[in-house]
Amino acid sequence: MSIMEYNGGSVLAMKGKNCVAIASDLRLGNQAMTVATNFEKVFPVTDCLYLGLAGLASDVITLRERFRFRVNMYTIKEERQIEPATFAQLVSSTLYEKRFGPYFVEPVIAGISKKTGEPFIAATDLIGCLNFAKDFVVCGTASDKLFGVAEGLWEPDLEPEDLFETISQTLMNAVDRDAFSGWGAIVHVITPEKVITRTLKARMD
Amino acid sequence: MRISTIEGGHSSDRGDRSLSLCFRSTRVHLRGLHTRTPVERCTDEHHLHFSLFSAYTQPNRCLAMALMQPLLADAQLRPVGHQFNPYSENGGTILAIAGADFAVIAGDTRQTEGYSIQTRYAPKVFKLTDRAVLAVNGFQADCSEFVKRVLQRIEWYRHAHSKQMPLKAIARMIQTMLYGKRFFPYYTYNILGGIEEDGTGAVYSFDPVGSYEREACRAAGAASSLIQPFLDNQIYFKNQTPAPGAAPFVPGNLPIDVVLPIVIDSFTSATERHIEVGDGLEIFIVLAKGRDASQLSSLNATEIPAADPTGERVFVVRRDLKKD
Amino acid sequence: MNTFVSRFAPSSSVIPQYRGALAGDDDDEFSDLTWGSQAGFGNIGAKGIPSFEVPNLPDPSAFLRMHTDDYADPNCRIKIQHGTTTLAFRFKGGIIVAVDSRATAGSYIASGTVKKVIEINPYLLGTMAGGAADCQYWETYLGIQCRLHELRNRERISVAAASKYLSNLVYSYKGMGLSMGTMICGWDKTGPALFYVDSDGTRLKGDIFSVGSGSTYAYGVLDQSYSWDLSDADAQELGRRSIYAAGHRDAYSGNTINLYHVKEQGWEFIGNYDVTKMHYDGPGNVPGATGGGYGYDVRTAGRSASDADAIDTSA
Repeated sequence: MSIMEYNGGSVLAMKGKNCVAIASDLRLGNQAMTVATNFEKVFPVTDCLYLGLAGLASDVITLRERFRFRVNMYTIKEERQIEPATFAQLVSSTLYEKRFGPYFVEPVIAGISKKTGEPFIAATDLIGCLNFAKDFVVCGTASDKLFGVAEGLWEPDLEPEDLFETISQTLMNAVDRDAFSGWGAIVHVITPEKVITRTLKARMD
Repeated sequence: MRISTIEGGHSSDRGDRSLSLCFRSTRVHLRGLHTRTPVERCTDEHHLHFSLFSAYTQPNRCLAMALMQPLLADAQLRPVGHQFNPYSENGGTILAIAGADFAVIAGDTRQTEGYSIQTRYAPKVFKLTDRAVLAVNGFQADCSEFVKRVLQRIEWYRHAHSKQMPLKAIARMIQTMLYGKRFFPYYTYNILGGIEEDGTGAVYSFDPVGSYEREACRAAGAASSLIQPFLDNQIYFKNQTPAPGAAPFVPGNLPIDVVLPIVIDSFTSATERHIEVGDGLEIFIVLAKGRDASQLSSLNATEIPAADPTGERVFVVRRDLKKD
Repeated sequence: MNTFVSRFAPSSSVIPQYRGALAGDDDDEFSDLTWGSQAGFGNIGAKGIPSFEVPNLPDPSAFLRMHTDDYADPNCRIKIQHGTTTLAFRFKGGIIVAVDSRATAGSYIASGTVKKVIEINPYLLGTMAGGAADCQYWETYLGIQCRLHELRNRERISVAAASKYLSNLVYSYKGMGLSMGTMICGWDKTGPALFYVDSDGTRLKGDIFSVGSGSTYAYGVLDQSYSWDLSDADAQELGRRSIYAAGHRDAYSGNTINLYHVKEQGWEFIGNYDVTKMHYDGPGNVPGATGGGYGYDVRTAGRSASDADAIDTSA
């Protein structure tokens, strides 16, 4: 079994009209055994920027702390909040530092630019190759399933509530076909004014 | 059919460590030496762990390199392993959906090997009888051989019983034909769609060695993992709750003018995200006896002439998919 | 092809000993018997044993393993469906048989609606774990043989005899790569009878069995509440509850539960239950149900610190 499948889990982000959404499942597994069903994989970076990490759980936690440290340092030095595009470069370079002994994590970034109000999503592979998508980005053990459903359900310029529905349906139906993801889900819809966070009633098997 | 040999011994100018992993003998240590000759790798990184396989993923090159080797006198360096790999993987995706009185069976027409496209039109969906259509996917040679044999058995059945073989009998026959090669499997994923004797639409899906199940919808092949969860959502209404006061969803009972756009969307989605899917789309539609076919007129459907024009009817819709 | 393959043929080899049950040449594959349908079992030869084609290689089972065993090699091309939880136990009211309905190929859930209880005939059930095709095919075949036994002997076959028939049959294919772990359940002159049969040739008589990747979870619940004197309702609830536990914890099990009860007059299908619905709401108003969901978070709601937050890893 691949190290990326050791703990399971999937993350997905989508762009809407002046909003973005990012969602993850809640499973923490030890191969086939489900150990916890409240393991969130999406973390706030600023009040309108979120980071999702799918992959090896120990690296998820390590990287979350590492990014918290580096973002804090940035905020102190620059005396301003980090922009999504800047943070994406930070993620990329942090991962590439470990090019030959990588963190087994695929990050997904979703946020809204404070400067322009533009929605922003991005994903990288485990060594930091950035992918700036116009529609949606996925990662984790259910990534192929997520691609399929998202391609079928997503459409441009969704309003926050419609985006929530689209990302929730995409995530739940994809993880229901994946043995290593699921057991609950959490969705964050980021708008310029507020972040709507909802826990979904999902399949528990 | 592909057969190739691994040459176990010739090490000097290849320095390909991934190949040497094939042989769990002392020779591995001998071959572990690193030469300084710049060489082309025989396999990519991914296959390094499964070197037995890697040799076959690019057998032509391996074979060619082997032939170029000078014959070595040293007995220790003589070829030690022969492997027989009759299988390949030709991409593509198939899907079938059953309705109350119809069945839709579809497949793309691209045929690939690795990253190359062998042809943009290789049909994967075949009409068996007036009421049965079979979609096959996997290794093309096994697929065409299997379809040929199924058609032959169906013909024999018609001669022996003076009637067309019923759908559920075809399904059971396919099981035993696949299981008959349990120890040398056909590398084929089969989906059988059509009309049962009671007039209902049905889909049967099979694994390569013959386990089968009647379902309302099924996707198989390269992009099955992309399409199937989408169908779960759109056909079975999985994870959908009707709005308060609205009528409850009835899974697997959709009208044909809802099903066909879902089929088309499934394939356009799969074409976007899977390199082995694309070029063309063939949708077979089997209509139960006496069912109105007017809903198909807008789709440019052509009817395949039936043996019994008063019974079930089979239509085919051909569309383009992206070719990149 | 044969000329090429024959170059790799063994000089002395494993093959001849399989030849009894396995067809050799392509030409023999269809006899005159295959005219017509033969109920789909057109490959059953004159001796009543189906014939199989094997690759003409020194070690055909190694060939099969190389191409189909995704446990040894996740990149193998032919994915055979695996993963299961099945259980059956004997008690004073008969036998409870409960199974999940998930089939996985690697991490992909290939199906959530598999029928893992095979209704061999109205008084015999077989369960399915391991290779889906192996179980389906051989248990259907067992059904044919059981019917023939009835016709020849004017009485129903005993569960012991039926299970032994299957056991001997799969034993004759030992080492060829069959994969089945099955429980044969029924009621005969001796009362309720339960046998575990697997493709290694093991055949065990017993009171409680659970088979599959989620069996350890099912045993945990089963052993806790099992007693011979269980009422029918409690026994059915125990079967449901045990498969739920496996469906919840085991990634390769889940979707729905199929519950059967074997009684003196034959087996009875009790119901199909969605595992997620069991988690949140329970089985509803059915015999044995205690009311409410099976999920622990439902039972601890508001009373435990564990459901307050996500795992706190900031410490």
